[in-house]
Amino acid sequence: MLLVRSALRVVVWKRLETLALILVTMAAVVAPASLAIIKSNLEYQIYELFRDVSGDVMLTGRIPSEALTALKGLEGVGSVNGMILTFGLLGEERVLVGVMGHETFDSFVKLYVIREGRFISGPGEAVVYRAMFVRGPEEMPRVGDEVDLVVVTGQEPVLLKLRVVGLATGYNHIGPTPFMVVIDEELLGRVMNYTITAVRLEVVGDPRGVAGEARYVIESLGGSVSWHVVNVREENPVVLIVESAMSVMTLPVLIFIAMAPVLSASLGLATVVRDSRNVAVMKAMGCGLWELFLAYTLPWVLRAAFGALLGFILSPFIARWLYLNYFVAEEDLSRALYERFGFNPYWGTSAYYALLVLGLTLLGSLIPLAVAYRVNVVNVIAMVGLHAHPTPKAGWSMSRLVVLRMWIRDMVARWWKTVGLVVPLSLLIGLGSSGVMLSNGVGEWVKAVEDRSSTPFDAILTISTVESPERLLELLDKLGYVKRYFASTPYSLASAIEGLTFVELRAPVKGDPSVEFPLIQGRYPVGRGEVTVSHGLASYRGLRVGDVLELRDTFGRVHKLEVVGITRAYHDRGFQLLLTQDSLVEITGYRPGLGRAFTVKVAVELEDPHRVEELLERLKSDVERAGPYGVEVISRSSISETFKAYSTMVTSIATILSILASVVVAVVAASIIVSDISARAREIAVLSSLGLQSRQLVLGFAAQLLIAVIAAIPVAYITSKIIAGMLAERTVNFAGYIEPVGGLETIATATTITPLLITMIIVVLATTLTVRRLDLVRALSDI
Amino acid sequence: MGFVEVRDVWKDYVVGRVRVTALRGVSLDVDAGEFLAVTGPSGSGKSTLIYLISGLDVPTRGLIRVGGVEVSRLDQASRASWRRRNVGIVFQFFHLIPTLTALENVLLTMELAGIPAGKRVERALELLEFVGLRDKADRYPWELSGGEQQRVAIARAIAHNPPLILADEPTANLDYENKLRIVELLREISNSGKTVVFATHDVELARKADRVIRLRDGVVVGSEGGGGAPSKISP
Ligand SMILES: Nc1ncnc2c1ncn2[C@@H]1O[C@H](COP(=O)(O)OP(=O)(O)O)[C@@H](O)[C@H]1O
Ligand SMILES: [Mg+2]
Repeated sequence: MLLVRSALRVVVWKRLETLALILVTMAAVVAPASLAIIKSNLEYQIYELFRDVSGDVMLTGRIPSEALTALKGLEGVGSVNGMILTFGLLGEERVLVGVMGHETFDSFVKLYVIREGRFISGPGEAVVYRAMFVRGPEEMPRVGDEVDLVVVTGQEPVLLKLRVVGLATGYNHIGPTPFMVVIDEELLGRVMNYTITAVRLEVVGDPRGVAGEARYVIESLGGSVSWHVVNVREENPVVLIVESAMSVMTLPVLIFIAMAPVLSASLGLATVVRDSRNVAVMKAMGCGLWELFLAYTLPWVLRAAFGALLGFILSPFIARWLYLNYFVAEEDLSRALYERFGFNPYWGTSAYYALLVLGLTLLGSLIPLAVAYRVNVVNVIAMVGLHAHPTPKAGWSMSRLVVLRMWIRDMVARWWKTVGLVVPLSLLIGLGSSGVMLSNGVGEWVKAVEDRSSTPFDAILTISTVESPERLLELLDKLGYVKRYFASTPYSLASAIEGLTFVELRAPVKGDPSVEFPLIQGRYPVGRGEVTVSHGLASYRGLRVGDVLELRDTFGRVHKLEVVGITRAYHDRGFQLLLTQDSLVEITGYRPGLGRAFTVKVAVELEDPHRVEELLERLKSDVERAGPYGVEVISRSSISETFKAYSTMVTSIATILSILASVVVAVVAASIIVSDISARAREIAVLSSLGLQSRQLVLGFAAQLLIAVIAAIPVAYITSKIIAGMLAERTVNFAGYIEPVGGLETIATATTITPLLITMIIVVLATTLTVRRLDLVRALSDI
Repeated sequence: MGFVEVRDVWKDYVVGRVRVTALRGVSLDVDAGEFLAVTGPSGSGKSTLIYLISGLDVPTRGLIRVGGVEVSRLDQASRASWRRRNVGIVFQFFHLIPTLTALENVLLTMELAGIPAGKRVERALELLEFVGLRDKADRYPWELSGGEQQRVAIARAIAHNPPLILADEPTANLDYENKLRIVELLREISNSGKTVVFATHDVELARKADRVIRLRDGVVVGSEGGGGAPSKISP
């Protein structure tokens, strides 16, 4: 009990050490916990939003209306909402045209369902929906307006004259456009032969199984399924993207966690070594491991527990504040999401990190305990004998070299101090230089995208149409300013390859694949079961020509494909697989044109690379004029802009984190040096009496810090390679696989050096202040 | 046969490649209740002898028996628990726990020795009274002078009522006044029936003991009665 009381006094008396450890443990808990809490909230919200739109299972295609009744009868199916979805033009604006019941509409839109007016109640009426936060024309029809809607169905376009009875808004972006016009079944059913084009199922139990059965039901009634999605939380592609994006931040934050044990170990060691005679006397008196624990570990555990407790309490609040102010770009959206879902504090997550940090800190402070336990009583007490009392050697103050040697010897003798300085410094340097390596990697990517000679495409057009694309491709053949093109059918497959949210399957329709996917190695696929993979995917998964790639489809079936070639691929995240139409049908069940929708991606190489923008404008209008085509153009330069922006983001996140980390590291390093100074007050007093100036003293400690920095560089280099590698792997769904580029030279960049300088300045200031305030007379009279 | 028996004890220290022989066949007996001083120049082996008797270390060769227990043959853990009950040690530096008051420092020994909680405070105060520090019981070590700290250390060493008190240069850091006072205290402890062995390089001070053993280079070179009591010559 006495030793517990003693431990409490240590905590109260050694205010600097207490404050430092509390701050550092608190930061170590708050940093990862608040990010994790935000992540869980975002994941939950995204999944729920996703589910609003697509239910647990959504199938699109040609679905006979009898199928709805049959689907209701399936085991595990809770609710069935069928709807007709097609495209149309509202004035200039391309819109989704939907026929659906009020209930279905509500589940689609969920929040702010009808902002003005009411839902339709008969033919000739329309509700106009617009997703929130969409940049676009501010001109929206008003309630009571008469509007013309051109509906595109595959036969001749149909013109409908409608009166707007309601305006709706919500945060769900449904399909490829932010706008949707809801009309009565009468108007469209006739044209579409009362065929439903999409059905949304809510499922109790296994949605995957239900999806398979639903498909079977639809097909056995003469319908067909062109696309479907199964909504499983763990596999939700958007959730996985969020996870990937968040890991850019969560991974570096781990260095905060590492600081707490480093600090407690280093300061604890300093205490034990300073008090080694006390330790020896305690052992001579018969104190065992438990008593030594109470005396030398308990104070650290108490401090860490207090810091962790504070971190535990604060994390959810800090998370909420960050979430509301920084994580949802649009203020309206964050408010809307907040209103709908609230913000779950996830106390469990906070507790997890608090306990983790506490546990690690406890481990850290076991090191000094082990040292204390091994103190050799006879040796330590024998050192006390008058003849063994260390006396500073005269003459050391004469030559600078001797002084330097003294400081270096000091670092070797007090290795715990050196380790305590080197570990945080190397993490700090490693963090900065891994950020540099990653943004270098993005830089290489950008360079490759900009290099037209390696991949010749100027733009990628995503064209959606309701007729077969042959006429469109004939048009492209005729356009004089298009040099070459490559048209392919795209199909996004979620969670098909372990670790990746999406891969895009592409089956050639017409044209030259080398426009978009120039071969690096091997050949293009010609037979069923052959595939070429992008070099990003190849390096991420370590694939070579001749290897077998396994793809899992949404029903959980596994398809084996032989890699016959490796290509460049710079579009999207770069995970494109080129395979034959046969293989595409086999894997996805997708037959182009089913459900009356075709999507083709066309990579275009223009004749004149100097007039790209002008020609692309022309191409877009030429295509749109030729038929009811929806065209989305992504130019090469916008792809490189996206990646440049990502590079900037990586660098600035790394910089912000490094600066935060530099403060934490500064606290750690400063408290190690300051506690070292106060522990050696007597020695320093003796040195001063021999003529050592306090300036020299500060210089000495600064030199030690510098030596620690130099010693930290090799460790930092390894750390940065590891951090960069992990970041590259974990952001793969967010940015594609970006191989970190760079070596030791990344340490000599501003991103790395700035935080280091901040740390050194803080430490030197703290050292100067401590040395100034040292009471030499008192230190000497203590003897 | 004394309370403490030391028989032909040798002690080697090996430091790197160098072997230092600190004791070369020392034999002596200390009777129960005797106040013995061990003296000799610095490096003669006084501390080594004290550590061996306390069981903090074991001899390279020879035998040490205290109160019939052959300490030199116990393993480390047994020596520690034996020491906790039978020996009180006073060091040159007082090494009080800085975060405990004078009273608490004394209490700590009792807590470690498992003395029932009810009696502790009363006895600790008596002991501080004995060393003349009852009025400073609530002071922390740094609020006490060197002599006062050493007196607390003595109170601490005898708090669990051990039959044997060992002191290694307990007066080395003190002024003359305080030196005398410490030796006085040791004498009183011995008068109360405890066996006291103290090492000092100060020949003057050693004379205050019942008997003085002189060491040089690890060998007993003389044994004489001190000024405090009639001499008892051992073989
Ligand atoms: N732990 C030790 N390691 C090595 N040599 C030691 C150790 N303790 C004492 N010695 C050596 O043993 C000899 C006797 O030392 P010591 O018993 O401390 O003498 P005294 O206390 O009389 O000054 C000296 O030569 C000393 O250097
Ligand atoms: Mg000695």
